[in-house]
Amino acid sequence: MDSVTHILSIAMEAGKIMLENGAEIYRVEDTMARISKYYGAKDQHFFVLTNGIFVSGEEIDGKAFARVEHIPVHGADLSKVIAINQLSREISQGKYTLDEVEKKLEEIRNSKNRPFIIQVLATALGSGCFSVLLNGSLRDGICSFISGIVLGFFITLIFKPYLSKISGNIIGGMLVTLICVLCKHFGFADSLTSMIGGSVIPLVPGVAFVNGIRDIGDEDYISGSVRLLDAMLVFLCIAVGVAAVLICYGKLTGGIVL
Amino acid sequence: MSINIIIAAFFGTVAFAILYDIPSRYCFVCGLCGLMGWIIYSLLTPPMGELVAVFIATIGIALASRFFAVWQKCPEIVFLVSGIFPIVPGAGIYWTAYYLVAGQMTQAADSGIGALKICLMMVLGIAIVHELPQKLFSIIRRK
Repeated sequence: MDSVTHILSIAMEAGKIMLENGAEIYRVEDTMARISKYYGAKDQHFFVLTNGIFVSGEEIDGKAFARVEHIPVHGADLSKVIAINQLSREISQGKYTLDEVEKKLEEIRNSKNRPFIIQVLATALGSGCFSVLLNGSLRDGICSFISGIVLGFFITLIFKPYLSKISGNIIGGMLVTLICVLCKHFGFADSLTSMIGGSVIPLVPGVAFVNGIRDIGDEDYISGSVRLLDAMLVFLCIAVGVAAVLICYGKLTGGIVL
Repeated sequence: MSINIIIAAFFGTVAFAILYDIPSRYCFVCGLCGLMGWIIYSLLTPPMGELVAVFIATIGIALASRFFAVWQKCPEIVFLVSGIFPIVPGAGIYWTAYYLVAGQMTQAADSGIGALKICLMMVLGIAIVHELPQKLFSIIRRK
């Protein structure tokens, strides 16, 4: 019989990894409950928000266990969510002891993302494809692909390690708009609207947005609104970046841009 | 609908699956989800209007992602996020902010309310599919 403290700390660690990497609230609660129930903790309570986990429980000798952990609103790495989901499935089939679970969690936490160059290429491919989807011509797609490569380097080399969410998104929006405007100005592209629309898509917080909707659907109103607010803030920052460059360009050339 | 657009919808979704670090074995299915959503959306938009099209496309994507989630044994959010990406009104939302910054208030209100309506339709679609009992999908799998 493992101590309740140990069980609940492990469940909490699993919940923390899931929450950091963009899982829904009810899934985090569900996984934590499943782990602690399987290892025999009784009388435990979880309260999960977008940026915090609260756990309390009771030891057999009557001592209380309580812990609060703050979790900053973070990026999304769904492979870790999938891995922990798989782990909790295997736990309920009885494959692991508690110490093995601890090691597994450590492994999942330290698992590596895809190599840098693939992330840049994926950003570029996403930009290019979406600008074609938004009624762009093939030439627009190619220009967006190029601005996507620049954006990919910006995101992985500068944005993620050094910049805050607000300044990073504003600068990112400015960067892609600048490239798109230059392409249009020198006649490589047709439609500025679809080009910019496609190029900023990699900055758009899709996971936060969909999760916000899901959480509100699950009646986790606080978490859902925090996530939607986060997504809206990012949208607004991108728009400020885009608008700044477009308005400057309009003033410089004296014409109406859109 | 040209072949260009179909290819773009598929690979655009796959690109985002890669960006969100979804393991490679799920990427193809994610691409299918996105493609399906986009096809429903673009086929229904002319006859029924954008709102209904978004609503039905969201329901389609959510159903497909729940089905795939049971089939592939992984969280449905994986397929839902990447599948819904092409129809998220990202463009609408930031044109709103653009018009706000540029001082064109009527257009800002117009595109803002449009984007908000689309978001609401997505909320409804996802919520409705979410209410369906899990058993329904397990039966499909056992067949």
